[in-house]
Amino acid sequence: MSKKSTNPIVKAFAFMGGFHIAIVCMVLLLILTWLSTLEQTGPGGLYWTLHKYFSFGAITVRPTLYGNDLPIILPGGYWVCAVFTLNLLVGGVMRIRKGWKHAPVLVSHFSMLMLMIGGAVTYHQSRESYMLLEVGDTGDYAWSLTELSIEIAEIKEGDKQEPLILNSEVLSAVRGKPQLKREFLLPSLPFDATVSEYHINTQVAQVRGSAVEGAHVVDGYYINPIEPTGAEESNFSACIISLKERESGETHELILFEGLTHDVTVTIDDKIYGLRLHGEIWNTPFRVRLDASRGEKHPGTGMAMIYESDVTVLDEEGNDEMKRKIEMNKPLRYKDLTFYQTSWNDAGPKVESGFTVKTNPSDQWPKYAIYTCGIALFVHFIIKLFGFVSTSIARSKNEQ
Amino acid sequence: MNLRMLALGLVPMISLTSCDESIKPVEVTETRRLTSYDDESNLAVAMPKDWRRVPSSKFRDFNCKFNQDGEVYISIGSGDIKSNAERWLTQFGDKRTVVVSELEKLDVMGSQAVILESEGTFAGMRGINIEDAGLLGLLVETRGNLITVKMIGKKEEVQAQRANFIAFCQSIQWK
Repeated sequence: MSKKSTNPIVKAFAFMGGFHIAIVCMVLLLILTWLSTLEQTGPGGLYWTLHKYFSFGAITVRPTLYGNDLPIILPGGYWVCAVFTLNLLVGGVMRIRKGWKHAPVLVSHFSMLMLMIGGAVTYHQSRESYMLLEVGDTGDYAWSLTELSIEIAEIKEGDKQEPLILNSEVLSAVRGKPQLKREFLLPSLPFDATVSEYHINTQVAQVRGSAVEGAHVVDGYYINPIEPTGAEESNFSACIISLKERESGETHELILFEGLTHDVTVTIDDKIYGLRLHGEIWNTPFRVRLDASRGEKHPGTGMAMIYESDVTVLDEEGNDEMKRKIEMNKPLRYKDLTFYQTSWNDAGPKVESGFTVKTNPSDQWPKYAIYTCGIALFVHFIIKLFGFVSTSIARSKNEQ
Repeated sequence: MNLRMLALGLVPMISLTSCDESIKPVEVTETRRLTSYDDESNLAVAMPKDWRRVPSSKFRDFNCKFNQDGEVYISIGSGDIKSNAERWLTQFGDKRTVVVSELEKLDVMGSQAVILESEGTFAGMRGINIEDAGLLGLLVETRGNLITVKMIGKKEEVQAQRANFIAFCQSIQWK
């Protein structure tokens, strides 16, 4: 009988790689998935529920069911996954018994570890946007339906210059927290900016006669917050941005509203600056022309049953690089980007195809991890089967 | 032992939650190149520096303000010059019949536009009334549309913006 170590580091290592940690993590993940699935059907919707349960910032979660906060606090899904990954590494890869007989189990644990790490890479490194094209149009950008940015660009003689971007990551500290404000230092511009009163869903109204009581009126307009809808892409955010000139200290306030299709402007140091709050723009490294779009809808509904698109990929000079057909579940993969067709619409004067554009360094990791795990477990099964059969034969021979 | 480990784990957890880095000032240098997204309208316009663009609305395709409450906006609509000009004058209590050929002319968007001016008490939509108001308007028919540019504000402020208004109108181009 082996003597148990009294070294606390060894004990902590053993504890971390133990089965009980794995079981607790899996049960917690099951509960979190179940509760978040129920909660996302409510007013929070999918986007904010995922954010609440599984984001990096969600250390703890207070579940809400049917509008009532449950009297429990659970650890956030991201951190449960992190502990589970550590448990897999310590217990399933480092502490596991080694040897040829155990190699398939080791490989299957390793592939599960890759699956978890792939999830983390996807969370931190993937990016998803949307490109909508009419037949004949060429797209050179995609925009996010859920992640918003503020862009500030000088406008010279009516022409917009390269914009400076306050991206969704730096804005996340104040998004949906109208009581908070955050300052942004803009060294390339003669002013700094402060974003405040950032509401998720709003209407921007013009003052008629006298202002609404308590409203923060900016240049005759004010933000009227309304209850966010469950679908984040159909909310219209708004915020107030204050631009403080560094030399004079003079401050200019503007209301930015996602529902606008143009910049609002301010003149500072004799230069016009346009500002806009909208879905993050993602310049694609190549252009895509939609040559043809075909689809069919379910009878009696507006829902697309099948759709496909013929596209031409163009380089930056506009030269044809290749022609491809994109079908449902058959995306275009090119230069680290994947184009999935996710919508089709023939209601307008021209047929439209909508593409979800995605980049994800670990895009194929889950597939490879599952294949590897499947093969490893199959080999393990065969080894065990041979072992069992040989033992049974030997035993029957002995009995004879 | 487990309690000791739990206590050890709580230290980084508490320190993580207690210092909120996310709200501190942050320096921003990220830019992006321009794309077709930035061609936002079918009109190209150069706005004077002392005006500011404010949210557009259903009938205001390009909406600006100057000084405190002065307004200038472009509308792309339909109809003829005469009836629209007479409707504008009615808002100033002016019942005169407009003779388009007698109005001041200006070349805008490759067509001949007319300029309309008026003064008085402005009674606009949404119950807005402006005493001692001035109107400076431009109407032009182009590509099957009626493009109008309307400036409303205090009489003396509108007069002071006349050069800006003319330059603004002359800058309008179809993209």
